[in-house]
Order: sequence, then C-alpha cells, then structure tokens
Amino acid sequence: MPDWDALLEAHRDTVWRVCARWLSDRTAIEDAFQETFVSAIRLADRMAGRGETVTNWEAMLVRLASSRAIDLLRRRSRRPAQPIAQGFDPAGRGDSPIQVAVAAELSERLATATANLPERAAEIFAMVAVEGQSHAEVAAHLGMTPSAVAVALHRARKQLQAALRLDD
Amino acid sequence: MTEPERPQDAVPPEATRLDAAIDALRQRQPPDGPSADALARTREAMREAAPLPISCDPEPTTAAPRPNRFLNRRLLMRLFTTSLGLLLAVAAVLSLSSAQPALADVIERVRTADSVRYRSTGYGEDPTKPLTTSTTWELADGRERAESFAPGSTERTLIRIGDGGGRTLILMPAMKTATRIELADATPRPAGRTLTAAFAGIGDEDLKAEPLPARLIDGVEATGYEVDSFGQRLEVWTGPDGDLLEVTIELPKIDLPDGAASPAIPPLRRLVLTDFAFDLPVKESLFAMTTPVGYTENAPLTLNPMPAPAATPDADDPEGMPSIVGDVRDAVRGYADLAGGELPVEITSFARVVPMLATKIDAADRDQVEAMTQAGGRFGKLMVALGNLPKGDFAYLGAGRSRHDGQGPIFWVRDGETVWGLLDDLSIRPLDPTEVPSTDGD
Repeated sequence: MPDWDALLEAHRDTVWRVCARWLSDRTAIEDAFQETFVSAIRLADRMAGRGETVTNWEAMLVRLASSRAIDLLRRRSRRPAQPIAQGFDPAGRGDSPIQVAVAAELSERLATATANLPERAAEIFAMVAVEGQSHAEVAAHLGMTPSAVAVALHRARKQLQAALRLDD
Repeated sequence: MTEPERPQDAVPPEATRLDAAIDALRQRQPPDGPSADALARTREAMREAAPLPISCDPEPTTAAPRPNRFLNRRLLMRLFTTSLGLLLAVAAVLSLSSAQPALADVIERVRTADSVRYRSTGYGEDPTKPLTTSTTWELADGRERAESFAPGSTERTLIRIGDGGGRTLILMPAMKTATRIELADATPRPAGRTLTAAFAGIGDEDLKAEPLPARLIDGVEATGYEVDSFGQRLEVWTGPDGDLLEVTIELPKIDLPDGAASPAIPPLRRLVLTDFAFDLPVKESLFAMTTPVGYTENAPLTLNPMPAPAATPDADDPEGMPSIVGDVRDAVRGYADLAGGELPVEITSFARVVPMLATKIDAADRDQVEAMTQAGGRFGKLMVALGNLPKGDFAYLGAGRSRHDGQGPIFWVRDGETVWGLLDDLSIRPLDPTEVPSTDGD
C-alpha cells in the first residue's frame, strides 16, 4: 500500500482545486476533499484485492474529487444554499465587475446543471470537458469504449446547453 | 467616448454559452486551503479507512475534536435492543444460508410445520455463560410466543407476537404487568417467526454449506453443516435420522460506545437453538393477545424504527418501470452517499445493512444522522418488498463494487417479459437478455 500521507501531501492542492470548482462553500469543499482521499484508499484496497495497482494517482484523484464534489452538490441542492465564503472570487480573473458577475453566474449555473445530469453523464462531462482528460482515459476508467464516452459527452453537452438556455 | 458596458453585452451568445460556462468553471479560483484543520481531519479519516497503518504519526493539530458516533450508535442501539432488531438479525443470518441435499429434509420439515417449538439460548462474548434462555413457539399462521428467563433468574418474561409480527404483548408474571408494542403504520413488518421464516427464505439452488466434523449432541452423533457468509456463521446439526438437533447462529457484532452499552444487557453474539418439536398441539390461550386477568396494563409503546419514504423518481426514468427498481436505487444511493460511493454488500438484509451504514458515518451532525435514518428506512422497505418476490426473479450484483465502476447492472428484476436493470450510474432501463449476468446457482 502506498504512503497515504505522502499521497495527501502530493495531491492536496489538485484535489482542493477540483473540489472548489464545483462547490462554493468551504465546508462542502472540505467534505468533498476528505471524501476523495477516503474513497481513494477504499478503491485502492479493492483493487489490491484483485491484484491490481493504481498507475495514475492524480487522474484517479481528480476523477474521485469531481465525482464526490458533484455528488455533494447534488445532495446539497435540496438544502438552502450556504453563504459563499467572504473574499471568495468565483471567477477571479481580474475582468470587469460585470464580466466577473456573468462568469460567476455561468459557472454556478453549469455546476448546478451538471449535478442534475444522470450521474454517469455528469462524471463524463466533468472529466472530459472540465478536467481535459481524453476520451480514452475516461473510457478506461469507466470501462466503456471511447466512442461511447464521446456519445455520452455529446448528449451531456446538449442537455447542459438546454439547461443553461432554460435558466435565462 | 466609450459606451459603458451593459450586462447583456457580457453574456455570450447561446451557441458559446456552454463553452463560456466551462471556461468560467475552470477558471474559478479556489479559496485558500486546505486548512490545517481540514488536513488533520482528512488524515484522521484516512487513518481509519486505511487497511494498514498510515506511515506518519498524527501531527499536532488545532482541529475540532473528532466527531463522536454516539448519535448514530444510539440509532443502532434502538434497533438492536428491541426484539424486533433481534428477529431481523437472526433472519438476516439465516437467510444467507442455502440448501444442500443432506439438509433438504430438515429444511423442508421446518418450512412445512404447522408449529415448531424450540429452546433458544443466547450467549455473549463468553461462550460458556448463557445470557438468556427461552422456549419459543412459532406457528405457521405467523403467531409466536417466547417464554424467556434471564440467567440465574426464575422470573419469566412472556412475549406474544400476533400475526405478522405487527402486534406484541409482553407479560411480566412476577409483576403482573402487561405492555403492548405497536408498530407504526409505515414501519416495515419484522420478519417474525425467527426459525421458520428464516428457513423459508433459504434458497434451494445456491448451495454454500460446508460439512463440519461430526460431534456428539446429547449422546447422539450429529452431522453438521456450516454456512459462512459475510463473516457470519450458521451451523445446522442433524441426527442420524435426519432430525434437527441444533441450530447455532452467530449474530453480528455491534460495537457500542463507552457508556452507551448496558452492562445489565450485554449484546448477544450467538444463539443456540435446540430441543425442536414439530406440530405439537397448540393451546390457543397461550397465544392470546388479550391482557390476562389481574395484570396491570402499562402505556403501550409505539415502535417506528425507520421511516419508509416513497421512491424518488428521476427525470430520466423510463415509463413502465416497476417501482421496486426505484426503491432499490434510492436505498443504494442513500448508502453510497454515506459510504463514499461504495455500494452495499447486500440489500435484502436490513440487519446487515444497518450496522454497515453505521460504520460509514463518522460525524454526529444532524444531516448525516437523518441521512442514515432515511437510508435505513429505505432498506427496511426494500427488505419487505423483495421478500415478496419469487427467488430467481431478481438479483443484486453490487457486492464489492462502487458507483460508476462501469461494470454494468448492479440489480435486475424480472417484470413479466421485461428484465429491468439498475446500472452502476444508478440509471434504470430494460436490459437485453445478454446483459443479465448469471448468478451463482443459475
């Protein structure tokens, strides 16, 4: 088994960043952050039981972080929104205030719409469209063919486009 | 002079809005972190989850105190300190077993009996010291009667259970008191009839019983079979004539927190059922649900261990899907939400799932307790619903798997000509026959 503490140190910033993409309050981000590493341990343990090892920890942690964060968002969408942490600039690119506001609004809408997708579709969208993983990488993770990933991604984009339009 | 920017100018055209939103999501700046507290909590959670010790010692931290599990355990205690919990636990263990040709006769004997009477002895951690003894009657119409004694005590407790386990009357002859237990309407009915209901649920095809070395029971050479499943163990011992001599049941271990366990009522770890008698004449008065003359009736207790919420439909649910698939999805989703995506090992045993659920919860916050209660309620509802389906008309395939593992259906159920599948992404659709995995014994 790997040195879990070293793994946490090596990937904490990446996992934190991925969780923060989808979630806007600190408590939720921390929850997703913790769940990601715990899920990684369990997954690695199950893989070890099958005689397999994790070859790309970062890819696996990014996938788990996205999945955990979207799951949390899905669960929390039924509850009143938590206040966004003070000083947290969702866009943070130094654009004009209106551009920042629009970007923040768009990203919030997209996160919510993604959480409303079927879980598999949400995961594929997050991994390919947001995290930039290849169809082949995601297909290997999910046990699908790359073409099936492409089809699912296309459908997810259509649904998200419709959701963003309907939210106007 | 430059015109001031208007909000509508900043909104991208529809065709590129999604890409703009993706870009905005990617560019989101995270808040500073993770904090030292968050890291410390994560290390602690990892340490608990890790199969082997983590390399480093815990660093000094200002993290919040580790959440206690008392609230969650308390829920668990409520389940398992009731006779209802015990019945469910026993049924859960027994239902894991399966028939073997040498066992078939005795299983059939139990299943078809109009009445069975047996002696039950309960043990805790010490296998030599019985904690409880009782004489139990189970009738084919669902009624049950147990006459129990605490160790070293001559004070009897009489428990009479009406048909289906929905009504219970507890009599304390020494004090001449009677207490009724009613189950709330929404509460799943308990399995009831510990032995006969459990044997009725034993499968005929998935044989996993292992023979045990012969031993003498009361001077008779007994043949034993062991069923070991999910870490729980069941022994069935028969005599030379095929008569049932003994059934030993290992009960799930429930770890209660310090201060929560009652030294006066240590948890049972093992039940030994002996002295079986079948189809004896039944004296109706011994099963009466009326309060005997001279007894004082206490205020009734209403048990509502778990709510059983209705299935939550998803927008993508296909038309015509049977509601039970939605029930399975809700239960599995509730579990996976609490277990970091891990799927339950099984879904048909309420008593197996509840302790597993409890181990997944590390925080005593209200939402998690509520989530566990909801999830438990859904499994309770499932247990009843699945129990009404013919064996072979459904199968759960999620043991050892996790959500989104890409390994296909985690559950299927036959509905007429259609086989409906619940996939690993928790979507539901009809399955092609080639997609229905075979299960052991098929």
